[in-house]
Amino acid sequence: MTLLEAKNLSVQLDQKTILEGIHFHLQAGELVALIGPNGSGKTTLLKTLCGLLPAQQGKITALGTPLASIPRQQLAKILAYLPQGNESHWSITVESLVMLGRLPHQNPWQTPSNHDKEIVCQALKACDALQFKDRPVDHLSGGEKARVMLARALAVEPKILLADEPVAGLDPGHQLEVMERFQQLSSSGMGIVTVIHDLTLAARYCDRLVLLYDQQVLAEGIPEKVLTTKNLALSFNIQAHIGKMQGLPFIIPTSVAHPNQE
Amino acid sequence: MPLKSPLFSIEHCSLFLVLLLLTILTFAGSLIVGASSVGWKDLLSVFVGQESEMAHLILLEIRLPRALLGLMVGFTLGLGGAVLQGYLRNPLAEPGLIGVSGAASFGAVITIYTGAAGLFALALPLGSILTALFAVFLVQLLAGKNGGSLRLILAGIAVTSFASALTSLALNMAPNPFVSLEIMFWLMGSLADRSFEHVWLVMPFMIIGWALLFKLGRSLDALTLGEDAAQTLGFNLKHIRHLMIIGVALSVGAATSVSGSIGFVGLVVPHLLRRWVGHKPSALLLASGLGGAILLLTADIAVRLLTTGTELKLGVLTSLIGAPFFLFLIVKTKRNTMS
Repeated sequence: MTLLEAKNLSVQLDQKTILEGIHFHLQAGELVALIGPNGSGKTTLLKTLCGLLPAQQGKITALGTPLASIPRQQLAKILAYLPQGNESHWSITVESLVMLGRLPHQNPWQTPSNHDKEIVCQALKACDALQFKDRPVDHLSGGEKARVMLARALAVEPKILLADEPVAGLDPGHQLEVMERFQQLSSSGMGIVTVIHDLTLAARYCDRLVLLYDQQVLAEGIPEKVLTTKNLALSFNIQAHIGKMQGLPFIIPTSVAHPNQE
Repeated sequence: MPLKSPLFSIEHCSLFLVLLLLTILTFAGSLIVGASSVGWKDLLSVFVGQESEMAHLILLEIRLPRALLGLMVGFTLGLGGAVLQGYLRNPLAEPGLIGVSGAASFGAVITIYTGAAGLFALALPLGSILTALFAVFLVQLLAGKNGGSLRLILAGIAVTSFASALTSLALNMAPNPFVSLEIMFWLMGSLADRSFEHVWLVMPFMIIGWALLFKLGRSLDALTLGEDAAQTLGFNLKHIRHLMIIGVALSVGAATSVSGSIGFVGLVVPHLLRRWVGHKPSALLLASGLGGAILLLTADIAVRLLTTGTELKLGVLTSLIGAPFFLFLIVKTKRNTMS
């Protein structure tokens, strides 16, 4: 089932074209990595896909319905967005922060039901954050905060999860945990799009990569097809060692490529 | 089931009980303290219906409206402050920020300047409320179409500055020193010599305003995660901003129209109570409203106790205490962000 689809998408911000002619689709059960150099429009694409930014051209559909015609409250029940930066403006407890993910499912004057509490508890467990559920969020380390924010997004119980750099700032162990968690979630039917800078993690865990460069999709498909020497040199301007060890792919950037050597 | 409402959660039950008790105590205190010797014994006699004519007049006609207004104005300022701080996610925000108080003050000044205030008692609060509503219309227009908060603050600052310039102009052009004195005294903020007419006039505006502001609780919670995340949780930023502006305009505009500008209550109260409700914006609304009422009633009692010859103005007292506290907050905030 196609969860999200964008056809011929163009996005301009302040009269500057950020994305042009983008085709994108996300199937149920798929884990897609959005990669590309800084400023290539990854965050813009993610925000456009969840309706935060208007597209000047093109059509986005979620579950077959045009995105613009889905009421915001309805969309909030099926799509969760995990912004970059993990900001929490007030020092509320971890549990009440994750409970915010239940807001789309609650009536205006309703307090959290036992069902809500159960889901929050599961989300915290899944992100290895249950042990500090009573701590104020601003007392957490960067990595702990990132896991709490992910738990918040999971508490929505979305069909679609759009995550902007969810593993940034995590130690290697928790990076692997988040990616494994994504893999489990996608194999249970969730469609996940994640912006990620760690190409090795992207190659290892994601079903499909979308490489953005110069306002457009430079390459798209299975990791082996996208992460080629040529693509990496063109988009990231790097030379990289691409290999496999015990069946696991890895990419090690070795030097900055010189554009004229192409 | 009031205990199941998100505004009044069970975890903070004891806090709300304490606040409610203090509100009742300060309200009663406001009834028994004053220039005349009518005190708590007379208050009890009113309850059993055996009060003297003198006690009846002073308690029910003079002190009761003053106490009611203290309660309502304090509640409005506390609630408005909590909403503004939650909406802007800034602990230094206060209800006057969007220009309502400045405009309401100017509206009142105009009625004094033109002499309309002397013609009938309600001219002043009416003129004040109308100006506040007009200012809100202007702020909405200036704040732009997208739901962002930065332009709103800038629009609020612009309207406040303009209103204050016009207020100064009215003072400057005052036909005689008595008018300027009257304007000056009004601007200082006071609850003295208000009648039930004032209570009935502002009550509907305030109640509608409060209702709109209480509706914002969930949205303010969602805004904890930032504007983008709040939108993807199903909240419409434009809708939130409209509710907030209109709610603040009605309640704070009405409060200013009847009491003059009373500073720092809306800033200090939410700040003091935030930790007691676990920093949750929605739980802070009712707590902050009650806290504002307690603070203003207490200040209004203090004003009466401290007054000897010339009446000490309520707004002067709150600012005298509030300004150093504000400085303390800034120093503390700076230290936190630096560490």
